[in-house]
Amino acid sequence: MKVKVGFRQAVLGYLMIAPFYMVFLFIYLVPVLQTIWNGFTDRKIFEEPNFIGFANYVQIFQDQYFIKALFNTLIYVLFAHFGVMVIGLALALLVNSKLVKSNAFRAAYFLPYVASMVGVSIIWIWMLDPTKGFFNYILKIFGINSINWLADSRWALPAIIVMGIWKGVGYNMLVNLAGLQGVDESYYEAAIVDGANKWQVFWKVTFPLISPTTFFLFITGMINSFNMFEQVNVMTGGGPMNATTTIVHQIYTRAFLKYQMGYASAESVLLMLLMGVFVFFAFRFSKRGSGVEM
Amino acid sequence: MKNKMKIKKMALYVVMAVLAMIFLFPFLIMLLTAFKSPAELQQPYFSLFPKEFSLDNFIGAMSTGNWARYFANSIFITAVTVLASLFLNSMAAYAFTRLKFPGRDLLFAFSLVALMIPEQVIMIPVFLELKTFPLAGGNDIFGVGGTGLLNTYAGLIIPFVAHPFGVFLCRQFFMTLPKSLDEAAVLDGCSRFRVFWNIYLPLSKPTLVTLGLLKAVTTWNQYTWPLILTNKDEMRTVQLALSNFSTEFVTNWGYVMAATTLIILPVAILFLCLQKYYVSGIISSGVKG
Repeated sequence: MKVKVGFRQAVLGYLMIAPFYMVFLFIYLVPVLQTIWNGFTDRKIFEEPNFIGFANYVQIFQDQYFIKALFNTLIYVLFAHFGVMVIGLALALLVNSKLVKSNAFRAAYFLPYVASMVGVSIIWIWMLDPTKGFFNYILKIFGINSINWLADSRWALPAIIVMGIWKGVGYNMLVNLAGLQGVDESYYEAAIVDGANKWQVFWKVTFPLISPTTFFLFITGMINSFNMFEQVNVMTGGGPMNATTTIVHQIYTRAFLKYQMGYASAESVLLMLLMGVFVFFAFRFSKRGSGVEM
Repeated sequence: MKNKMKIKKMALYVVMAVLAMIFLFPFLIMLLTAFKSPAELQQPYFSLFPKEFSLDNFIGAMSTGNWARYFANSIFITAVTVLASLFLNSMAAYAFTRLKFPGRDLLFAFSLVALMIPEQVIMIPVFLELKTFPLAGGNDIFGVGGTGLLNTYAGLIIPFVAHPFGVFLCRQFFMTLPKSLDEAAVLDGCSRFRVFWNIYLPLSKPTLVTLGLLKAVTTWNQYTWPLILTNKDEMRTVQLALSNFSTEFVTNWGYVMAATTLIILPVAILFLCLQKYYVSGIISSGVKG
């Protein structure tokens, strides 16, 4: 009897996870393996693919577009991710103050995160407009000549970085805030009794205690920044002169505009490897540095 | 001392208000531009407030192109994705929490791998899988000959219904419920599926609202996947339509800002009304909805 109940329960268990697991396997797991395999082929869209070994990879390392995209992506990760990390934490410390009821302010800081990337990209194109845009209006007040932000290869990427920070910090603020509220008040009191100033309290008490949160945000935010694509496709299409093209923008262009699926898969594999290396070193570094265990 | 406190409080308010202004300012520009008249937008300089408020841009933008269809597409896709993902993920979560079967914990842990895989690096094979889906869109049983699930609702929905984070969050909640609940119900002759459906689901409403809300916002805001999967006008979602609209009407900013307003507004309202749920989801996630 007992065996029979156990068997029936196991069958029901498998049945109940089946729909979820099937989709999970075919949407996440199999595609990762297929990407790796396709990267070794000259897969297009209709023709039968041929195995071509590392030919795609050899070509990618001489591909000016990819090298430019790699460079732009790293710049974006460095500045946008760093900006979001620092400003997000600063905002969290600000709204965590017990003196002021800050719920409405929090909602305001978070609103850009909820709005669609397409929508905010279009609003920013309008604000960056060379003749009628807000940013050039400000420049004019200070007597500076107007800049055609998104058509100028020096300014397009910085503009996209600033927008990325504006859109993303609300999320970091909320997660950091949750981390801060989990810190026991008595730690602060003890530190102040011991004569620590505010700066010392932050670096010696608060920051170590919320470092698991910081580390989590560091990893996930970095992965998101490495995959930046939507705002580029909407705002500049990778231009001017490839000044804003990113790795994912190259993958999209190769795979879905030029139908070079094999080549684009090899680029995807390189992106995965790149992120893997960064995540690996982040783990190594954090364990040595602050003893954070994930 | 008391005075010092007061000054500090005032200063905090001012700083926070200025920051709020910076974060909201682009949305304000969006709204005010949408209400300007075409003549006013012809002026070759920046101005913040419209001289008179007019609704012409909203009417004009919405009657240019197939907006009723785009909105219907997005609403349908969002609703089905939310409902299907809630059902699939909570059902799997129940099995992972309360049913005993070989390999259960390993299978669960393994599914969390997906949280580390960004959709951008796997979009090519998923696209090819859907294109060669057997017996769909003119395909034969081997997935050859037609367009498969390209340009279909199924293709826009299926990739997003399995969500390991949703399973994870439901499981976290289910584990807080007492096991005796299941045992009592089973003794009364209730099947295990009924226990999930009639007892667990109604008890986990806050978790489901949180997950549904996160999913609704991400689905509504989705751009990359519809861009890749569809090329027919009648299958466009609002985000895709908006990005095309903005390149087509690049000289008519009143229209573009009116359309942008109408597309951001539903999500903004949803967020502001259900903030508590959304924030609790964001805090327990970290991984995008």
